[in-house]
Amino acid sequence: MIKLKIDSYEKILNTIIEGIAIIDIREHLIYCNEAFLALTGFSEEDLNDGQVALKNFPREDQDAIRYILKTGVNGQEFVLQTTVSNKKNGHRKPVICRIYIVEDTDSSIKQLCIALSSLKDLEENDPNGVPREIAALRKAFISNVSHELRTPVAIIREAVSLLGDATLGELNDSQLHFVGMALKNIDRLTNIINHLLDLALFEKNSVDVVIEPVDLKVLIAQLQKKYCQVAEQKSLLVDWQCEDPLPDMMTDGKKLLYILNNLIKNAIQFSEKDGAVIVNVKKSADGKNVCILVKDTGCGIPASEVEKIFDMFYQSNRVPGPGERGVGIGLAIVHRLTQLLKGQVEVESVEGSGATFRVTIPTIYE
Amino acid sequence: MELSDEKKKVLIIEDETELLTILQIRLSNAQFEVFAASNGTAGLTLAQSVQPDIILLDIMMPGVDGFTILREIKGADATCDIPVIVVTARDRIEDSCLLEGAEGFLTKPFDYKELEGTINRLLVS
Repeated sequence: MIKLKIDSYEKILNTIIEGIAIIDIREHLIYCNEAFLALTGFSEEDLNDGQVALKNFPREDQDAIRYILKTGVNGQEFVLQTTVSNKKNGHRKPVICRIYIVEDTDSSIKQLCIALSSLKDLEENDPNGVPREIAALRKAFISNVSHELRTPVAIIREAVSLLGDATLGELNDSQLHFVGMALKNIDRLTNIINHLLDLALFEKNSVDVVIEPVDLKVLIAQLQKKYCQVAEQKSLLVDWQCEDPLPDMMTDGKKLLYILNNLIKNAIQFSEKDGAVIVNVKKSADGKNVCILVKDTGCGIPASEVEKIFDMFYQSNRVPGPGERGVGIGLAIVHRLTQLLKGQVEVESVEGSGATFRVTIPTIYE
Repeated sequence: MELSDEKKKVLIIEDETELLTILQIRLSNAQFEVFAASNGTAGLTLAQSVQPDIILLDIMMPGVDGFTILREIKGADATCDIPVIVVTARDRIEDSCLLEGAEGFLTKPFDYKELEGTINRLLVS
């Protein structure tokens, strides 16, 4: 029964186009499928030799795999873009190498499962020249790294603000000044991380529009709650002018929230202390659209920059408030999301007199 | 924090020990009685034995993750009424955490004042 099962697994593994190999802690090859043999040029006899497992990788990647084998824990996954040489013809082929740590919890025997995908095959399948696999990996990398960055940033922020709060003893004015400088830049870093995550998420979900009933009033209340404290800290007046009742919408609520959130966040960010922000939400005269206006009293946008303001990674020369500087992603995503919801976004601005963003979104997405 | 004469008990379940230490200092200073666990299993045991007034819970932890702990806390009679604030580096999981029964949600890096405000709000309600 068990024998039959193992045979079945082997048959399945031999139908896979990825090269699969299992390596033990002594770097001995203990199993590989036919695709692995074809990629590396190994023969059945080589398998008996055992110590051939890592020889086909470049030296630096051999070291990387050894390090993973030594330090990795059960369930961990790693991905390397590397090359693998073919013993028979001497050719070196680019591959994506996925490495999984497999540990038997009872016996503590650690093994590495290596899965090799030939990059040439992937490239041939990709219409844009960028291997699909690589593009996906890049996006996943941005997303994962950004999340990983948040924890150390949280610790640094808490440690520094602990000093600033005089919990551990009073600081003099000069020391407080530098603690404030550190905090300001930690918040700036957080902002960048958040934008990177937005970008990763946008790229992942840019095509899907999830249509659902949207209660605009609830959405606005959510934003009011979110920004009341920030506005108060900055002595900013945020005037929420919302028509009552607001029309029932059928659209993608999460995308709409992102659009509103970004415009309001920007307006607060760019407004000077003691300034004012107006958020006006109403339905259009024919009732087919919802019109949202977000107006700030910041420094405005120079005429030469208005056209570029929605470009990805474009950073306006607008001087935002203390500690806040964008990375040129927020407005670009707002623009693309508005288009996805079949709406429009426009900006009007006179340098020195603030900016007004107008968004028009169809009440019912069709 | 002057909700009553008796100190309120806060349990922090967080695998990042440095953050755990800072939060311990902060919350002790704010007159809370603080209990700390650096992994999910220890946190769950403490939740059952200490019966804290509120729990701060990280989600991404090695071993038993925060979601499992949240489900265990909210699924047991002895602990289901203890308010839980999820404090995590993962965003966009707020809905899932609230569905699992968490009463509060904060994304790292958080503002300590916001955290203390959320704790006090939940303790009053």
